Amino acid sequence: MKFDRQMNLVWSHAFVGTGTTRLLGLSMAGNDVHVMRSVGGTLSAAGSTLTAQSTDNWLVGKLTADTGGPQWIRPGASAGRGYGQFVVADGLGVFIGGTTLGSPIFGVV
Amino acid sequence: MTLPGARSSDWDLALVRYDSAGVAQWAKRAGLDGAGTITGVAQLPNTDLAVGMNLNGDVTDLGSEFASGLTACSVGCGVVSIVDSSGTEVASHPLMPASGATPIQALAQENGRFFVSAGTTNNTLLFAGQSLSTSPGATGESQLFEYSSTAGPVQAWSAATTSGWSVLLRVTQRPLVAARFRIRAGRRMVPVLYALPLWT
Repeated sequence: MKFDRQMNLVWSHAFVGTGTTRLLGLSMAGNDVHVMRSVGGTLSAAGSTLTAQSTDNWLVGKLTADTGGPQWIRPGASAGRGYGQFVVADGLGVFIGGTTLGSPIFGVV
Repeated sequence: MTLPGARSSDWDLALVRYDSAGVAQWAKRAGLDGAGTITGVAQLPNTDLAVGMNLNGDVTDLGSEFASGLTACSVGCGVVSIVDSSGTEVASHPLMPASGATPIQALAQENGRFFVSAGTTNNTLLFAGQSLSTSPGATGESQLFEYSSTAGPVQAWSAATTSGWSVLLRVTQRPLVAARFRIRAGRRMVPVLYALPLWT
């Protein structure tokens, strides 16, 4: 959710999937908002569909700060398990980190 | 992009860099003998990233690409790894106590220095050439470590209680580096805020 200085709601965005998700981290840089979420089940946004390989997977997504529109989502999914632990954006990209068990896949799917 | 060297039967820590279009640039791994968690990060002025972790065991022998220099730690060590935007580890600062544990709680960066808080347990360790300990015999003390972004360890503070225990919860920045403690006094937990004067 984004609020203006008077705490009026500007926009809200929900990543809706077939499983439960939980917000793990958030970082802003310029006009971009990067979020990290846990993923359970299947989640589609910005033309990508991510399917969790277990009950403990995670993703990073980028939203436009003005509108809340999703720009992309990427997985931290693995055949095993994993926990996203931080997301830090700068003007050129974003660092993410977490624990993994198995063979995680990052990038476009 | 896969995580090179990832294992199916043991936990790894992963650091990943995406560009602004969502293209994965690199993925780096630190292997764990036991448990491990990334507990704090701080962006440094030169765009490097300081990553604070709590780890068990020896990551050096596991083909790790960051958190180097941590060896034979069986009870819980902190380590700060500094990684540049190309994924290269440019420095690693293990907090390896001779006894006890040094789990990192948080990081904060201010004007070329960064601060690491650790909720320690009965530890004795060497930091910046000085032997530092938290009340041997007690449990649940706190330490705050200062590093130069370029030169490494600078100084440290301990918050030892005469009885009970304390946990250093968070370090924040601007206008002061402030450490928020929770101290057990008798049967009560008392929050304490300690601020470091940075501009003396």
